[in-house]
Amino acid sequence: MKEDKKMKKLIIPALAVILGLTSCDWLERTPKSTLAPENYFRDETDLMLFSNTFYNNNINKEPYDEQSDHYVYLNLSTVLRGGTARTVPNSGGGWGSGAGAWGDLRKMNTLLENINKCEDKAAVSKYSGVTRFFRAWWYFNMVKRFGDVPWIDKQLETNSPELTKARDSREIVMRHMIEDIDYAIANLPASVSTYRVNKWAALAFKSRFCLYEGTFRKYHDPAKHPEMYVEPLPADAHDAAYYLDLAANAALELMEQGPYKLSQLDDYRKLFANVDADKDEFILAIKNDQSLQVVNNSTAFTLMSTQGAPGLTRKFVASFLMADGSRFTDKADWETMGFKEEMADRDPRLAAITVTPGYVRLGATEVSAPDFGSSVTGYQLVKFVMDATLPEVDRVDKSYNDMPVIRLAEVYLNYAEAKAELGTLTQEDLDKSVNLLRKRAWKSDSAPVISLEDANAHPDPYLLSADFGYRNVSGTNQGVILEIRRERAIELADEGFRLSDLVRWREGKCLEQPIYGMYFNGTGEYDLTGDGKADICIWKDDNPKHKDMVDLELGKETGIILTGEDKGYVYHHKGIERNFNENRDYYYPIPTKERQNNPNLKQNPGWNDGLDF
Amino acid sequence: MRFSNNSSFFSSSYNYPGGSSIQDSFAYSSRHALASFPLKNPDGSWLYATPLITGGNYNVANGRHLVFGQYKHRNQQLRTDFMNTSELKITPFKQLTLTANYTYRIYQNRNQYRSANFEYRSYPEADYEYYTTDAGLDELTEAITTSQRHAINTYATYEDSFADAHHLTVTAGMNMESWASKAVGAKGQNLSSETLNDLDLVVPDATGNVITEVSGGQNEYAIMGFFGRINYDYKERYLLEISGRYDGTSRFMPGHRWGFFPSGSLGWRISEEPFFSPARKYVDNLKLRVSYGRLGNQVVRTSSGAQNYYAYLRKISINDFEGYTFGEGTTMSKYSTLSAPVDAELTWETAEQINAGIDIAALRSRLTFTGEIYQRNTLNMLTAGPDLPAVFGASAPQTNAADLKTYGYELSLGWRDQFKLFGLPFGYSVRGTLSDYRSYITRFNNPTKSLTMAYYEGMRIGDIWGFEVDGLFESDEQAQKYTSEVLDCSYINGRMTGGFLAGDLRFVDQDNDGHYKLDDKNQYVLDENGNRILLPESEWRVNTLGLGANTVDNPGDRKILGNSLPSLQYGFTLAFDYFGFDVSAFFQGTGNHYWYPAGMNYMFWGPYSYSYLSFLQRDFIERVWTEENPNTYFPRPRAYSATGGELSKVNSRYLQNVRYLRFKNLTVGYTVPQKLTRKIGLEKARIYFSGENLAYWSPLKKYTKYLDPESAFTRNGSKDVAQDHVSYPWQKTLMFGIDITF
Repeated sequence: MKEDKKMKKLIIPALAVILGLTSCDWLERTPKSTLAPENYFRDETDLMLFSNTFYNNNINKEPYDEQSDHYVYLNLSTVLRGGTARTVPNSGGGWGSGAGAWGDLRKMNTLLENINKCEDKAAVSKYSGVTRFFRAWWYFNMVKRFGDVPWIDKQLETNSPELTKARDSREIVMRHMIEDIDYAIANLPASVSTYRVNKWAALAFKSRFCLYEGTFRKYHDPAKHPEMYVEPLPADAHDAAYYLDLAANAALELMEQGPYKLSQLDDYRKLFANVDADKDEFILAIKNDQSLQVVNNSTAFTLMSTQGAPGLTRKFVASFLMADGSRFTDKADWETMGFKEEMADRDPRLAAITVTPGYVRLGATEVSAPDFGSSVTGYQLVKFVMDATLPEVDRVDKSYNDMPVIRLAEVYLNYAEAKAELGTLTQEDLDKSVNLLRKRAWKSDSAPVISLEDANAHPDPYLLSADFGYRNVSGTNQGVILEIRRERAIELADEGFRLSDLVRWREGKCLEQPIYGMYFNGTGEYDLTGDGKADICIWKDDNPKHKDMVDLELGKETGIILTGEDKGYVYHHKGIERNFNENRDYYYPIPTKERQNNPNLKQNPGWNDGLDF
Repeated sequence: MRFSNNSSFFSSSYNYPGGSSIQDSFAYSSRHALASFPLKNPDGSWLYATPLITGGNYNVANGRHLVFGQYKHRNQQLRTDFMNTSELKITPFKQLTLTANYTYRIYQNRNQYRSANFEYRSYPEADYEYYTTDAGLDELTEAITTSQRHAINTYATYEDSFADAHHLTVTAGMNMESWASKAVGAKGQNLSSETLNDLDLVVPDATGNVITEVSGGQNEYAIMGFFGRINYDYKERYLLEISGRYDGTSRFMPGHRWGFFPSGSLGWRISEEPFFSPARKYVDNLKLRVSYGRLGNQVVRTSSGAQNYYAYLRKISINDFEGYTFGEGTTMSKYSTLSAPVDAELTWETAEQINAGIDIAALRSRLTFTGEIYQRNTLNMLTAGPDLPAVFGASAPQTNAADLKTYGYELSLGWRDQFKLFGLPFGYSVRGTLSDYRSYITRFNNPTKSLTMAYYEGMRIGDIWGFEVDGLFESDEQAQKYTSEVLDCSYINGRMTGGFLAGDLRFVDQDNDGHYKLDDKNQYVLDENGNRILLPESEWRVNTLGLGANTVDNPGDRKILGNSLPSLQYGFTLAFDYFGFDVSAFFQGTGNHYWYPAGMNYMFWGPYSYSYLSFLQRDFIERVWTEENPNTYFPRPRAYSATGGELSKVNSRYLQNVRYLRFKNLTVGYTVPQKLTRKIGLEKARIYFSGENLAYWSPLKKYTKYLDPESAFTRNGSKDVAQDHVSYPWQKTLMFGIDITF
């Protein structure tokens, strides 16, 4: 029993200790390798790190363009095929909750709601500017894709009423975007920063989206096409001229006050092939870095046969002018001209961005011929192909040339187009914008430039034709608008503009136009490099089995398919139906699941998702 | 008073060559190692890239033969685990015991992964080239995770009997536990040795950059609980147990941390009743029992299945970009991010179980039977909440979103006996078990019963929705006729240029949702004379092969094809012993149980999943449709049709019933008579043969012998990554052995 007492002496303190520990603190375990949001957003580094994702998530890092009437892959995109190839997705489709859609917007609103915790007010205005730049950028992508979208400028809770709000008219969204971008213009630094947004990137982007909206309102006239405005425009909505004016003014401010000029490089190709971005001309660019494995696929994509086999269409190639400024399509025999002949004496940019006779890749010593295995039309696009002497760059996802996001050339084109559409364009305007691009391309002050008077006096019949041209351009500036569109397509080829340009101009029917490749006058041997020796042989019945040239069997997918039985244009897409439904295809559909989750979302015109509301 | 201490220490080292995982090695070598490419050149050098593979991206076997053949990848996983429990038991008087114990455990995983450059020749006698990226990257990764656990239990037990009839046990106490883990990782590229593995050997690369990376990470949790239990029985005839737990956890927000979980059970041993005594001759034991109990679950998992220790908190984490840089400095750019929104009100998930059972032992305990039926209600299930509109900008937070109801039963029946055969005892026994269950969702906020959400009320867990396929098109004409009737087949054949052809799958148009025979503009109806009549816009309908409104009430052309959970799981054991021999056999199996192979499952789909597979299953080609051989299992060959085309649409034709019966174990032994073994000083000597997994029978075997029905699953639910669909093949094990007891 004595022992028992001793034990009690032991037990009581032990129990006391244990009970002491049982206070609530025992269950309080806070994270030790992550930060609490309350303690974050305190200094400039916090704001910078948090905004860094906006670049990664919102800027399209693929340098190669979407398919269009100018640029096709072996497998046509669903947009080009149209009809039943395009369906209403159940979820995602650009309207998902994660990265690539609404998740990116949420991050921006998170930063804007927390940014005032930072005491460094200079950092607050700078990074508010960065964030609002990207919010406008994000909404621009959504407006292009869907038209009307709900404007959300705060972080939503699981029970926020905004979750089920209807879409906002694009006019409302545009007004908010202009507020955002004007804030960014006023608060972002003005110094050159090629890999981070600055004041000038904001101005350039403002000219881009205001031009988009201005031309959209002009060509999708609300009076004629009310279905394009699913949520009706408010009574006090601005008109096309308002947006075109903003576009021209933003571009002009950058042209007059910005620190940029066209690239001084000796070779136009290097502007796109060089490892480092040209800091004179690129206002915003994507940095790539071989040792960090931050890379792109630009070289392999156009040179490797397994990558999609992209090619330019003959429609586009024929739109390049002759070196003397005359039109290729004014030539009597342009339609049946073979490759070697058609490529002679053209706009120098044609030889810079495609494989033309005598093409020698940067860094290479030998002439190479167009490769039909890696280019479905034969017109092989090599705009972003890197120097051949650099190691590894030919492999998939191993190129590391910096990619342009915004460059001065686009601003010139935006300016000229906005002025032309407004009807206020002068020859002086042309000379200080797009005509500089001509002079740079020709490397000569006496390059053939656009003349306002000549262009309007003689609009290009090719660019107005049913098979190759635009249907909706009219008015006194018809001729010069066509010339500016020609220049835009050529200068910005493969940089991600063509498809959305067709949408804003209401020229979707262009996607139904021929997407042919080179012309061949029948079976036989052809010299494509201009060295007098044949490079390919098109054969039928008997395989010649050449050792020194590529044999292509006529009419076979693995060989060459022509439009005619035994001659014509290269046409591997023969038999594939293409259809652009103007009553449907200018917008993407809202995913079915999203309309189920929020019945206030109306579907875009022409899209049948099977839901009864 | 009694003090005891128990310590254990465990240490292991596992060394292996190859990629990061065995799945990685299997998946990558299963493609691009076509028989047309030798692994080595005739000069003995390794072959990897070759001019014969244009472009040079998909190189021979993705270099995995170099990984194994050159043995430069050296991976090591070291584990140490130490645990100590000290216990103090005090018995102040006979009926009362006080117990306190403290357990400490520390365990550590130290992992090392090494990859190195591989040399190869593009053709015989060519200059050596090096594979230096991906698996050929010269890199050493070291990662250490240390975890510590402390646990304290204190409780008192009072046990007493009264009047030789009442027996009572009362226990009450508490426990506390905390756990913390901390990770440290480092890696470096360009080591000056291929055989020594240490981060000190990292040197600058060709451009002068030293490439290193560090990482960390910590997690913690704590739990605490009070518990009490009362056991009472009257003459072992009536049994009663009542218990309760009051548990707290660090994983929820203050105010939501505590849960109370009571339970109780009643038992009645009828065979102990006086009135039962006449039957005791036949029935040795008959017991009825019922119980009710609640248990708590506090573990919240992320969508990838990892534990989320701070599910009620939002956190800022700082990470390295994988594919973005700003050209500032030579290291990877960083970014910070805020974790997804959470439900701060998160609390315990409760499993409530009601169960009734019967135990019978009869005929001198030769016959035994146990039967049990139960209903389990999982209340406030910790799972992702109902889908929110995408404008929310994040996935729906984990919350106590659903209730689940499960019904089931378990039966076990055995017979054991012995008799004399030719004067020697012959013992034998047979035992069989059978169980089944079904689970239904009873609460989940999905009023439209949308199939896009994880659950809907009334849903049976495991239902597989899919299309019905009633055969292959016999001719192109038949396919075209079908396509003209079902106008919009794009959901199924969107990737086929030119649409359905002979040999393609014929899907059954279940809902026939196009109300009219329409022309290609879908806006007209044809009258009896074939004239087109324009319909009002609201009635334009296309007969679509698809998902309908994707709800239970309008699932389009789909229906429930089967259930992915195994039904009727059973097993039986047969055994006998005679004349020193003992034989036992164990069989195990399941009833109907369905599975649709994921697109990247090479072992099932072969080249339908991927066109550059290293291996083609034997006889596969005979099961592939051709114009000459049209009556086959697989349709017109189209590469990738299983990953994104028509075969990726779950359908009845390729739905697999993976029920099986497996001959799991056979053991045959012989024990040498003791009178012989004792002569050489052995107490017992037995030689035996044992075979594991000797055979199986399953409908799956008809279509592939390369997939065991038990490996017919999709790891992590991912459909796109080949690594998730390969597994180490099921093995058959044959073993001979000798047991000797001195």
